[in-house]
Amino acid sequence: MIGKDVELSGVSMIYPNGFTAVQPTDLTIRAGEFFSILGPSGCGKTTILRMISGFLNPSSGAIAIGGEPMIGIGPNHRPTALIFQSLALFPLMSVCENVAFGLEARGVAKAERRRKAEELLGLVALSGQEDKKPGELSGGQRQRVAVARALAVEPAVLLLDEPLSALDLKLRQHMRAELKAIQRKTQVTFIYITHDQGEALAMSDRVAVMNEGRIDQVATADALYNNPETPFAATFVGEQNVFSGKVVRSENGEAQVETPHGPMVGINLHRLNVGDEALVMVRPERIGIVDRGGAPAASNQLQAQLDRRDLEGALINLYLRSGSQGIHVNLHNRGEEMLALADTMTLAFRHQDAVVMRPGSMARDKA
Amino acid sequence: METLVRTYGRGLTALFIGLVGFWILLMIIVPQIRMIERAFTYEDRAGETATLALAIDRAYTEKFQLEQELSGLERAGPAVGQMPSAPSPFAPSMTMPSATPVAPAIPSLPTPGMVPSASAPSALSDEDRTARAEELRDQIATLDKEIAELEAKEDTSSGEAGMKERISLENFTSMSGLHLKIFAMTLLYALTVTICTFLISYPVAYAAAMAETRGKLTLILIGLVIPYASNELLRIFSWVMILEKNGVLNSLLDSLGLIDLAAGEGFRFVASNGAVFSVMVYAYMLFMVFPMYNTIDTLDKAQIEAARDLGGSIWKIHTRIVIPHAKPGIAVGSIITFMLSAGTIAAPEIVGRGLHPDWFSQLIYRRFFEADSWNQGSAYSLALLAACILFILINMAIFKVSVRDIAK
Ligand SMILES: Nc1ncnc2c1ncn2[C@@H]1O[C@H](COP(=O)(O)OP(=O)(O)OP(=O)(O)O)[C@@H](O)[C@H]1O
Ligand SMILES: [Mg+2]
Repeated sequence: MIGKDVELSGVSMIYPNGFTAVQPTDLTIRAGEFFSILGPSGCGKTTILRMISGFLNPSSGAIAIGGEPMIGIGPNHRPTALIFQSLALFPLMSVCENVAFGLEARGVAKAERRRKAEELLGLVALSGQEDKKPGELSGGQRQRVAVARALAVEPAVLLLDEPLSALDLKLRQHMRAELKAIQRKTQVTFIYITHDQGEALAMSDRVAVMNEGRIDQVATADALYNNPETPFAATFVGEQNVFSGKVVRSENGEAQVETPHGPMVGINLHRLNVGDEALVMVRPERIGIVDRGGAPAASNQLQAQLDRRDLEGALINLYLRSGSQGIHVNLHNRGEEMLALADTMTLAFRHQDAVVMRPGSMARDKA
Repeated sequence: METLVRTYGRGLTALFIGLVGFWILLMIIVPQIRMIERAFTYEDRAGETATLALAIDRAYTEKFQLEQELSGLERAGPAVGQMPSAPSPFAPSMTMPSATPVAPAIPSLPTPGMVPSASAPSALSDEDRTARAEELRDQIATLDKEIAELEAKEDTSSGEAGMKERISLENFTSMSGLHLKIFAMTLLYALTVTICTFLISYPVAYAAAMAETRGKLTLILIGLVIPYASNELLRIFSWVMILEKNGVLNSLLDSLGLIDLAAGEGFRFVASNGAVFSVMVYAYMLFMVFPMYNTIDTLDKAQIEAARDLGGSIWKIHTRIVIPHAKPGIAVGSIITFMLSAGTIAAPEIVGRGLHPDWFSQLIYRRFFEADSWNQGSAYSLALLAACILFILINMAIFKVSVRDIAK
């Protein structure tokens, strides 16, 4: 098994009812890569996946897999295998028959099918469950049967549509590691769809953040977290404190923004000019406590009242308020000194930890 | 039961249960029992008792004729008998007509002494007449004795109407080779109809279940239901009109230039098994489509897509995914279709026009209403019912569905 690359050029999808689910999109997924598409519910992730697998014809644009154009080729003739959001295991067939279905369809002899199915079930750690029905398995086991069934046809590209969404948290975390390991072992290109950022960040070589039918940013997990390029990517992946204001100064790649909480300086990512509306974004863990009380001295400092303090073990979450704005601060638990927090404190962050962006749509309700 | 009492009260519940019980008794149990009873009661029409009854009948007839002749003689001459009366010129003509109607009914009956008496009783002399009368009285007396003996014998062997009835399987075992063949062929025909109906209904049910829009589905279902708005006989007759020699189908072929109707070409589609089958497939399609549609509709469409994605051909998708899932629906549909076609009489009678091989249902009809053998008719019906039940059981075994699945 060896992966192939997938190339989308100008691919869009307009449903018959006139709804544009996917805006014209260019996207290249490299061979053998674990690629995630991350986005909120209804943003068009499944639509993209179904276009790659051949169940939907793009309204415009072209898709190529391994350099071969895929226009007019049905799902059964593409080098892809799809793992459905609902898994879609065949409930009346045994696990072994499920896994071997693709081989059966290709006319492989029965003994050979069985051998291959057993081998694949070994790969997904399900040896000995061959003769059970899918209904007799746990959620995680069913999940792995679906993976084995898809891998049986030796696809070059495996498409996974939120396959872990039905599992509980513990199992989800366990399956992440397993999927990643299977991907490493098989070298198949994985295109993984999820609305769970933790999943995307933990497993993927690269992640595409998608919003309202558009891909906002494609980057490695680290780059995505540390250097988000749009307000949506910044707010959808991880937490952000967002302050809005107007640019008052712009120099050396930095911009100063006048906010209701005082002046703030950050990286001028979108090259905004003086007078532009702007958003300043700071991650909760990049904010520190300067002193306990007193007025803010310079830029990137603000005073806030403590609302709530949540101990999370290694981390402590502080929820503060400055005026009407909520601020989230994330501190390492350093023991005794964390006990005596004043009601009012001055917070501060470095210039390089703040990003100034042009206002745009932001993630509202994250999973 | 308790919930019923709680919701409706004792009186109403009792009424409900009473009505339901009455209904079951009247509509199901009693007719069935009566039919079974008849089926297992054999009317012996050739046995010993019947012969006995026949002999008694004959003796009576003979006696009657003798008595007629005697009374004729008595009227002809006053010297005859104990109460002499004036000879009447009308006597012979009066006695004969009343005696004759009896004779044709039993042509084989030997009528000793009848022919000479009929020739000219009045021509005989008084002495002759007296002698003849004596002779007749003797004969009557012998017959009386004979009758008494026969009747005594009959009384001991059986009670009723001269025909012996007994519980036996003979109504079944006496089925002739021809009837047995018709029985077997009917089951085969019904099976053929069921299979044809399945083959035609399956794509329809599948299309209906896969219809993406409400509109499409409504269209398919309306198209299916509308023909059923008309009476079954009308439906069958409309098919006859299509299939007739001067019917729609031949006209169509004619207009296509394939045949020349004017020259007397054209196929006689009716009165063939093919025609009967087509009409029945048409008539019963709905009963196959709906149960199948219901089950296919519950199939997760993602399963079909998954099968396709894994490279499954259309054939594989249907044989491995859709049909196994639709099994209960197929089982129900085939059972209904099979029972309907095995028991139908309208289609083979009207479309077949007596020119094609008989169906068993037609045979049963004739047993009842033409051969007037209700018991054998019941037996035949019961045999058909048993065959249908057997079919249901085999069907359920093949499809591995239980009654509970079907009820779903
Ligand atoms: N057949 C269809 N006809 C019209 N609109 C559709 C159709 N299928 C999906 N949509 C719309 O397209 C948009 C994208 O749908 P899609 O299924 O791709 O979302 P998704 O990102 O997979 O969401 P989720 O995470 O909830 O699965 C949605 O707003 C949906 O309402
Ligand atoms: Mg989806």
